[in-house]
Amino acid sequence: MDILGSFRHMSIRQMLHQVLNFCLVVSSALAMWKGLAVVTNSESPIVVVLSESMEPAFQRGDLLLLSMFNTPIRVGDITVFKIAGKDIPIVHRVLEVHDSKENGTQYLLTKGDNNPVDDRGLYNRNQMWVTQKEVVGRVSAFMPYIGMVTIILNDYPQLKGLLLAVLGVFVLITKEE
Amino acid sequence: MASEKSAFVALLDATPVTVNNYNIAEVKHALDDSVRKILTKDHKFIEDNTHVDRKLLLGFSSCFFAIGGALYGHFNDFQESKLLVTIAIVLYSILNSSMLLYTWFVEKDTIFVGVRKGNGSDEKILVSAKCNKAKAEYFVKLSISGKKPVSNAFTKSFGAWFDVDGELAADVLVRDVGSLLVDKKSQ
Repeated sequence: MDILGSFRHMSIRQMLHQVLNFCLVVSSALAMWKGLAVVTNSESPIVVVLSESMEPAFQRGDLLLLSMFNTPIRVGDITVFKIAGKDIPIVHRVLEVHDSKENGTQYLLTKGDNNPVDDRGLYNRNQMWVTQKEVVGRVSAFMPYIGMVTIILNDYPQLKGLLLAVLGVFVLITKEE
Repeated sequence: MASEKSAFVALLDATPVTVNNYNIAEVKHALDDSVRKILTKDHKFIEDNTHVDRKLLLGFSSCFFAIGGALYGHFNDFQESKLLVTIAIVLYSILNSSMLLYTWFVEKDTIFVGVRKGNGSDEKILVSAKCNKAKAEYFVKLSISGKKPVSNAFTKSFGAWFDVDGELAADVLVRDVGSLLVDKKSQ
């Protein structure tokens, strides 16, 4: 498609309108994501399983839907938590729960179903428990395989850039009906 | 009008408008744009951009809240920022849907609103256009209010204005739009 040609006949308002269309695509995606976060009360309501540590429950590439309603966390719940200072959230099962009387928070010990030992090796040095604040959500539903798309896109970041660039140009130059 | 050279035809001689004949949306936009340009360049109407400006304002302010809310939520603790993020998302939805409702129920098929300053009285013009996708037809309705009110409409196949390569026949469209501006009853 002739990109310059489609801009040549546009007035300033029409160009602004095309830019607006682009911004609206970004905004609606952000609003949906944040809206879902607020409704499920989970900071990151959808995560993708990256490791085999929870097999046979979850496999690499499964998409998990999280929620964090105000009920306390119980032993056996599968939680997603983010250790302070580490980027990648972990999906593991709760093995032990200690409810603190002093500050009302919960202290958890977690373990991957498929791992031989509990997660203390994955926590920060000298950290014995995952605190309630570090828990992003509890798994409430999952969809197999769909997450493979994000895994592939993360493995090849150039692919992600290319995809975004192509979609962006497309939105900017095509007019809706 | 017919004797003098149309400014629109001159413009298109320099940069021809070419569309993909199989993309109805593109054909419709090309025709809308051309009708607007004929009315402003050849017939000296001044476009009133109120509809577009209102929609741009609603659209960009909705984006402001969505992107601003998401950024605020990203850089602040989730539980602490939750209330403000919720407010931003709700404002986004309200503004965004009012933009859609404005397009559906207020702007409707309007493609041009404008005025022409005459000696003594101004003429107001309102043009709306629709496409019949199944028949590949373009329907235009034009009405002028002022001293000499005019109300005309026509339906024509796209084929009247585009050749097989999708190039717009500017002179034909100029003639057709010109015929809409003449009050047929008084002739």
